[in-house]
Amino acid sequence: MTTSQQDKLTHPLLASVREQLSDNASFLALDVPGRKDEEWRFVRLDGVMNANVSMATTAAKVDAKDLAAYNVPEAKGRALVFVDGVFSKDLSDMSALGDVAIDVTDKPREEVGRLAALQLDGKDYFSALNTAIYNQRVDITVGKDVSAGTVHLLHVRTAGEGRLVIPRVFVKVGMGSKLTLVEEHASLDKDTEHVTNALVEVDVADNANVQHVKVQDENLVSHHIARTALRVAEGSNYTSVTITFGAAFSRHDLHAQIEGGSCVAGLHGLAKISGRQVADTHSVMNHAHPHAESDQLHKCVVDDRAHAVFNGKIFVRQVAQQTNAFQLNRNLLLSDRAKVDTKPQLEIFADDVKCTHGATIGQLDEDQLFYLQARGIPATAAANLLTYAFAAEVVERVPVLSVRKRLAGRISPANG
Amino acid sequence: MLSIKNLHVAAENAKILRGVDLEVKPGEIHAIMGLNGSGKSTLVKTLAGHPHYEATAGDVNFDGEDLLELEPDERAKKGLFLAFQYPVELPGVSNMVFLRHALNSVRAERGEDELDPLEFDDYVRECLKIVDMDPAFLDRSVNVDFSGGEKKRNEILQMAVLKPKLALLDETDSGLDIDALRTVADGVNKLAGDDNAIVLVTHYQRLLNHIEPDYVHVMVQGKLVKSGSKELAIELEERGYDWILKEIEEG
Repeated sequence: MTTSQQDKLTHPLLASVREQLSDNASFLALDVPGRKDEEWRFVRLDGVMNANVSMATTAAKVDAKDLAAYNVPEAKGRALVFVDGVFSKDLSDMSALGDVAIDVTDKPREEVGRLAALQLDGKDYFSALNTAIYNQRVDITVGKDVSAGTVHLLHVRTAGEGRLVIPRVFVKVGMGSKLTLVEEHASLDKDTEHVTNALVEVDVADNANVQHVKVQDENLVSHHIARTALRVAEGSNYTSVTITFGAAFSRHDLHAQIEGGSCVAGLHGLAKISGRQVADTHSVMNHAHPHAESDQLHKCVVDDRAHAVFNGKIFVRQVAQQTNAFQLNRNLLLSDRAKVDTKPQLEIFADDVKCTHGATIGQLDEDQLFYLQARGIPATAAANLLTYAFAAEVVERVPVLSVRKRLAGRISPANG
Repeated sequence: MLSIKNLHVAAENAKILRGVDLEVKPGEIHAIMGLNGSGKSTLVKTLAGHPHYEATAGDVNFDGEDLLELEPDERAKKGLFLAFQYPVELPGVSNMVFLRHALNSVRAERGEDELDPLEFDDYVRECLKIVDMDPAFLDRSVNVDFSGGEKKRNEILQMAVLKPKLALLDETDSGLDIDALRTVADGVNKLAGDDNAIVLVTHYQRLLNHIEPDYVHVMVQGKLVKSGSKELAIELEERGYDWILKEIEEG
């Protein structure tokens, strides 16, 4: 290892995995992204790289009662719990898997990593880090024409030691099957600084339907970096709804590879942040096949001195005629110091397509506020009601009732 | 109930009202007519507390209180209601949630218990009948994708739910065909009583065929220059406003 390579491993973030990385040439070839990188220009990674965290090897003790709030009844018998990144058999309930195969494994599997590598030629720093150091991968495999129900992956982070949490998930849904996946990230205490680097790949075969809900509600001193990479094939449907409430810094990259006709890829999101939180979402819709549809609604509610970033790329390749792509990013600023950077980016190489995109940044509407006040609703309650309504449009798209209700409660005016 | 004395109002430094005087007593229906830009809508919006309008002089007393000192929601809680000329759309806020929230705010002020969703459901269904509205409207976002007529009906539904002491109806007839106009007017008539009062702002006399006013006032350049009975409205419809302007010029 050269000196410059050694330098790359001096970040406190990597302290506990330095050994593992020291002979990983492909990882050592990569630099930590900085502000000069177009994909990272709005945010700083200092907080992440300097976090004093280590990877856990055994699951810390957690009382099942503390997880009751995260229960998803729809996923009974198909619920996996990870504590500080380590699978907990005791807390999980895999009693009713039915026709879904779920393995927590470290065995190499040829398909794993392929979808993640479709972007940046596999040279994404955090994807490479995840691949280099993950210990346990969750493989969810659904065969042909199976109605697989709902699977819940719950990651909780505990009090005490700061942890480097490396979730790795590979989902493969066979032809004509249906799966709902709830991926949830939470903290059990407010003060412990954790770093998460998650990588989820979802392969959706012909005519299959995958609904993916992601909830990131970590504590406000933690950092969450994640990538979701997926492929949709002929006649299939993948729709995700990502809800971001937590973390001091969060970054979510979504990459949808559209490889079939008559299919739909939907990537929806809500980031509701305050204080000095930063929530950065980058999405790529890659239309590589004709007659497909993509749909995106990303909303941000930004209070105090928080900062939301949205970069939404839509590529329509030359073959992808008759593409119908829709993207809308709407931002609500609740304070004068709140900040939003939004950048829709369309690159269209086909000539017979319909692409609609828009971005709005605004404050609460004065006329709406007055209308509510004129009906007896005080100014603060009126503002809360309008903020709720703005955020609820995304929450309403969550297809799992218990999760939707929980999230609606989380954004309701009664909870500020 | 409402006593306006020498009210002057400005918006963005332009003087709009230049000394309005008006007395409204319980059980009365007043109509204010006038040309576009004469200040009719400004008057009712100012009374409701719209932040764009600033009262620069004069007094407004509503049920013994200095109305201009109150926040818009406080005015509503005390029984003042403005039916908007252009009802505002509230995407994501269901009509049901909106109406219940509004009613419970007003009830709390009156010292009455809040209605829970079930109690409110019974209550609002009776109100829907007053304006002949389909209960399906309750589940829709407030005024979103409503036709012009539906929006106006929705305003009167809100009036039916809140049962205000004083209702200010701002051009409630605009955008209504004859059937819709009758429905809206019937609703208003059902809600009018000895304890409450109504002030209608309108351009045309046609609404007044269906809601019969006790008094008609003419607004010209920010002042109520002439008052009379409903016959005055008919005269305005037939002769226009020029003769009034002439009367003023001649002093």
